[in-house]
Amino acid sequence: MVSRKQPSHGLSLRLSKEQKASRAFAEHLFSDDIISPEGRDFALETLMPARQWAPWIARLLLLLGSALFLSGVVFFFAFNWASMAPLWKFVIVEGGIVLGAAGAFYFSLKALEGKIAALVAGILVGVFLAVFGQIYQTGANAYSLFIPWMLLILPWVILARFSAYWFVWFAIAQVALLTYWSQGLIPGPDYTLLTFTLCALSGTAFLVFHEMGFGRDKGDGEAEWVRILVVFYVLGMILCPFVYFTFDLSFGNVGAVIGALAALVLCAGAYYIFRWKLVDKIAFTAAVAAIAFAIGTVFTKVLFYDSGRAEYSGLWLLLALLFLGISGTAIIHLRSVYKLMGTDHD
Amino acid sequence: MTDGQKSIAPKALLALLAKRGFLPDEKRSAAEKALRGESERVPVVLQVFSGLGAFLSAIPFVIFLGVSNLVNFSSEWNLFGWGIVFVAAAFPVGRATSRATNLKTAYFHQLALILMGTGKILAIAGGTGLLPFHEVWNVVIMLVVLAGVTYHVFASSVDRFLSPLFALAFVPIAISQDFERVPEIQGLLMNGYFVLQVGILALLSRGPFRRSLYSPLYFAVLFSIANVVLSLSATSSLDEFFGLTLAYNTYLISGLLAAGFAFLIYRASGNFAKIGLVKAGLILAALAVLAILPAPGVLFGLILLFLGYRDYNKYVTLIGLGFLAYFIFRFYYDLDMTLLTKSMILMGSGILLMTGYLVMRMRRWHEHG
Repeated sequence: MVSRKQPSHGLSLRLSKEQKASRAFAEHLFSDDIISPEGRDFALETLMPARQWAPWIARLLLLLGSALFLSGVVFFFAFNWASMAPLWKFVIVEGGIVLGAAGAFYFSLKALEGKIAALVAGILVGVFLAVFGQIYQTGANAYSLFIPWMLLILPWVILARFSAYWFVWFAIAQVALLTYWSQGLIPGPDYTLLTFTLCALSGTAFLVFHEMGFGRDKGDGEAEWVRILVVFYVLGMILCPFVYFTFDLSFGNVGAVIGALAALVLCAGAYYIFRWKLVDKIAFTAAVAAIAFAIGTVFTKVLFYDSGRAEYSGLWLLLALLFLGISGTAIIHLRSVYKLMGTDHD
Repeated sequence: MTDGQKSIAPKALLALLAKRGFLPDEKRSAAEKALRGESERVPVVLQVFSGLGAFLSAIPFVIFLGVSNLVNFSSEWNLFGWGIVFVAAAFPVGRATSRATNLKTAYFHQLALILMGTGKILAIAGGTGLLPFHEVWNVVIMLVVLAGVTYHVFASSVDRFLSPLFALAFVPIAISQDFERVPEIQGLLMNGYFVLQVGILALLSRGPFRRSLYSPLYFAVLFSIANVVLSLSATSSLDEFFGLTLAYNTYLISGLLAAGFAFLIYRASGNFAKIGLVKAGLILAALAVLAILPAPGVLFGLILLFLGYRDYNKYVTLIGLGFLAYFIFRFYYDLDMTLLTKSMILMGSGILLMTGYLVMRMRRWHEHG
């Protein structure tokens, strides 16, 4: 989505407003007899030179290899847990952390190898805390493991500037928050729905943090997928209390009321941010979809405010037409905004 | 996993082709037309949104038909008749899309989708009871007929993707239920059907079928194969909960996927000689190992990653990553070994792959191939 200069072929193109040519487009030109087989080969070689595959395969090997190796380490601990002497447990895990940190230093955090080494070290910090908790019996609450883990690796996450690391950290932070909420604070029944709001708000805070610290200068896809996943997560979470409040309409349930209000703010905020400030087609579509869903929920409640009205067929037809109108209007709006954003389709 | 690709606009590609003499002057207008078609392509995310919107609208519409007694849900002829009426009504509404102004297009398109979706559901529900064959085959027949009849005339990529996908996904269910007592034929048909799907996918990847009209069909077949591969990891659950016996031969599927992947690499590189004998040998050896293990899920995940990278399709790449993560986990989880042996195999596999990376790095293949 972010502008990039195209240095090759002597062409100076800014691609923010133009879609990328795809392999299918080249095939289309060939199948319609617009270009010859040689022209097709030239187009495909231009779009995806054969020599580009080797770096891709190397990257895949490194990522898969690291993932498998790390899983092997975890399995190894699971098997030998009981029989292993505490000292050995610490030596192996701490040795892994030191090796990971040393690897990150050796390869540098600008290289993929260094980033992966830092990620390995970060995950082993969690293993270390688990081992520590087992041996010294620090307490039964899960949050006493996840909160220190989240805080301890945060500097590495910021320094590594690696999207996968950010995402792993987000997952750890979410588990830390949820376990602290349910085991530490223990909310009453009126506050249970606040769990969703808490997840959504913490996700939003993460997004802001991530974009400020990492996303802005990595607009070529690295940060994008983390943003998209978290946006879907945040909007999905916040719509739950909104739907509950709309159908329940009880102001006594504080969690639902706060959640519904937060939903309005977050949906509007997501719309504004991804439309104007941090232009992102998929995140913007998610915001529009969330707003459309919220409007549809309100209409459903208005039409069927008591269960007896479900017998009126006309109301169902009206609801179908309303849904049609909402989705149609949203599509019109999305298409018009896409045009302003540029036509890079996917 | 998407870096390294060249970002070039379609217009720039045409200019480059013309500059190199690959675009004759008499073909310029046809190329411009193709370019316009490319720029009018609807983004995937909007297609998904449109499909979901239509689906959600169709639910109260179907309830309306039931509550108003307009459709008699206990009469097969009534259901079938109304289904055909709605399908037929979707055509003129869909055609109005091309005539309408931009503002109206979206509403007409959504309405056409709702009518088509509702019509097909009703027609299948009714038609299933009218046909004389096994119940599930009746569903397959209805799905195939409706998808076949509407594909070329109803211009909606959502419908063009979903209708064949449902038809393709129902065939193994029909084979499983109809030939439950004849396992030999069941296995033969099921594996033959998988081979057929791979063949169709290969056909759709080539020349005349690589145009946007057949793109939804291509993805429907790809997703149907994904469905088969996914079902391989849940054969016991499918049998237990749904009574479905899936008689796929895992080695055949694995071998076919490995061969297909080798062919894709061959096509992408031009020929194996260009890659170099050593590298080509290593790739083929790795594929052979995955085929022999067998690891169809891992292979299919790799194929999706490959296709996603090749075609600039981030959605396919993401699905490929998901497949890979899940099936690697499943592969080791299913191994009938102790945790210690599993951990050794996992660490060994990891070290092997990282050694491969280091070899590429030492030979500087990772920089420029």
